[in-house]
Amino acid sequence: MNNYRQDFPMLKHDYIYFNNASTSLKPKCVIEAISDYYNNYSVNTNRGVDSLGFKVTEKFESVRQLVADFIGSNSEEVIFTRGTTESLNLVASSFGNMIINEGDEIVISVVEHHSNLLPWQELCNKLGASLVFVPIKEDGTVDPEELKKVMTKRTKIVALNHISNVMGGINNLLELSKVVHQFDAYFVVDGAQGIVHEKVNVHDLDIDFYAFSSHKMYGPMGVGVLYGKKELLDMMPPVMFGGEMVDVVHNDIATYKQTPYKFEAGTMMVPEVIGLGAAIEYINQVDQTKMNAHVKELRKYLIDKLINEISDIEIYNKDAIDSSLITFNIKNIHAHDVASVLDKEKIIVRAGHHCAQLCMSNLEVASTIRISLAFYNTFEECDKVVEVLKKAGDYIDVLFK
Amino acid sequence: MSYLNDESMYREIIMDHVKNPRNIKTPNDHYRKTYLKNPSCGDELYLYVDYDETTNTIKDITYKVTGCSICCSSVSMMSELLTNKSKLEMALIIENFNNMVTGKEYNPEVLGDAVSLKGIVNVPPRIKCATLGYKALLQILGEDHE
Repeated sequence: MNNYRQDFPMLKHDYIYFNNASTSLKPKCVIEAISDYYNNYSVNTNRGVDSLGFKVTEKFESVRQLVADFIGSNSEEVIFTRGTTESLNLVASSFGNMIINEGDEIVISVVEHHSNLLPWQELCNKLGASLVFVPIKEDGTVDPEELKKVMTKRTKIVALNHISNVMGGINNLLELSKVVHQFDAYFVVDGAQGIVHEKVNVHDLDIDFYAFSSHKMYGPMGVGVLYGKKELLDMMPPVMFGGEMVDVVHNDIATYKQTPYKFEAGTMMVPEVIGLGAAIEYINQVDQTKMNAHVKELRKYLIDKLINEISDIEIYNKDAIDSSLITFNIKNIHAHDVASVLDKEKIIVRAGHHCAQLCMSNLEVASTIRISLAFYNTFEECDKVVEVLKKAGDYIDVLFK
Repeated sequence: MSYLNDESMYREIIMDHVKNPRNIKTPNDHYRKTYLKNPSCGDELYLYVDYDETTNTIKDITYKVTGCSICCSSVSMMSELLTNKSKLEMALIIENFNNMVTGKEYNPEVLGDAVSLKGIVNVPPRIKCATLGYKALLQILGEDHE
């Protein structure tokens, strides 16, 4: 896997980048695809009859097909958004608002990222529905049997992560979706982490909505995807209005385009979508299975080393063996003191509450350090982080160097 | 004093404030209070101040803090430094502290133990940890004109 390091310009700067769950680095091909657009065909999509406009529209739509193939859906089920957050907000404000009534229930878990908690919390508060929390296992996943126990005839939506951004456990979407549909509810999946580390087939898994971002899967920031089942998208009203999403306009009323276009109002993030296409082609070329196998090996190597060599370490997700994450603290040392010490050695990790404050309360900590690995990370980088932690002493060295 | 000695002395001062925080007690009902949080890291501070309006003097400072070593030690140092100081003295001290952490000219003589945090100038992402207590204090006294 080391051969692929040269594809990532950021890796030339001698950083050890262990914050991949926050955002991944971008390969040259993605950066070049974006600059190719700006240099050679930087016009708008779908407007007029010019040949450049035709070319960019074709390119844009070809990425929709690439995404669809990547997740096992049809292209008309792929909506481009600003990212996972916007995708989940779109489901809540259009679909959720349409089907939720007073007294209904929405099921989520305490390890949800704020983006898969707050849209539902807001919706419940607005419509007089309630949020129900399904218990989680130690690796952050939900046992389908436990889900069954909290499902009632009032449950309309179950919204869970594919992989928790703190705990790293991988939810069994197939079994969970069976339970959700047994109770005639709808299954919304936050795939921000899952899309990177698991091969997803939304049709096989029978998921109703799947949301993810480009920037965590080696693509540019500013673009993401909402997958929705065609029949559900068809029923849903648009939530943003303006150019491109409209069909016929009268003084007092308008009709809107078919899905997915009715959800894509205004000028879209065309270069970013093209960059996302390049990222998917890159992943396909490297092979996601190989990437994931390397990450798993790295994690095992690093976690064993941390346990054996750092005496005061407390690891919160030891059992999430298929994960790319190691979430931990050093006893009696604040996560930010640890992260600063690593930062001085050009090792970038995440410290804080990871936009998952309910998850932190569940672990009974204020914050943690999270190492999140990618396929371009190396065993030598793992050695280095352990070496720095071993020498950290009182963890205030940063003030004296 | 050599740099090395300075360093070990400062290190000792900081860790002493972390392990033995000063002025931890239950505030009386008349103490002014505020709550501040660094939303990005979760550092949390409840600050209580006994302020005498007739003499414009800080009579007492106490607090509850959870956070990193820099945040916790800085609040503890502040509580020692500013007790029994007039509002004018406080303003001078805070100005010097802010100058120190942002790399401007400052007078170390007025900063007491807080001078041990001077290295923060080289760690810009952590300045907000060191200044949380002072920010809360200014807020309590209505001097927060940010």
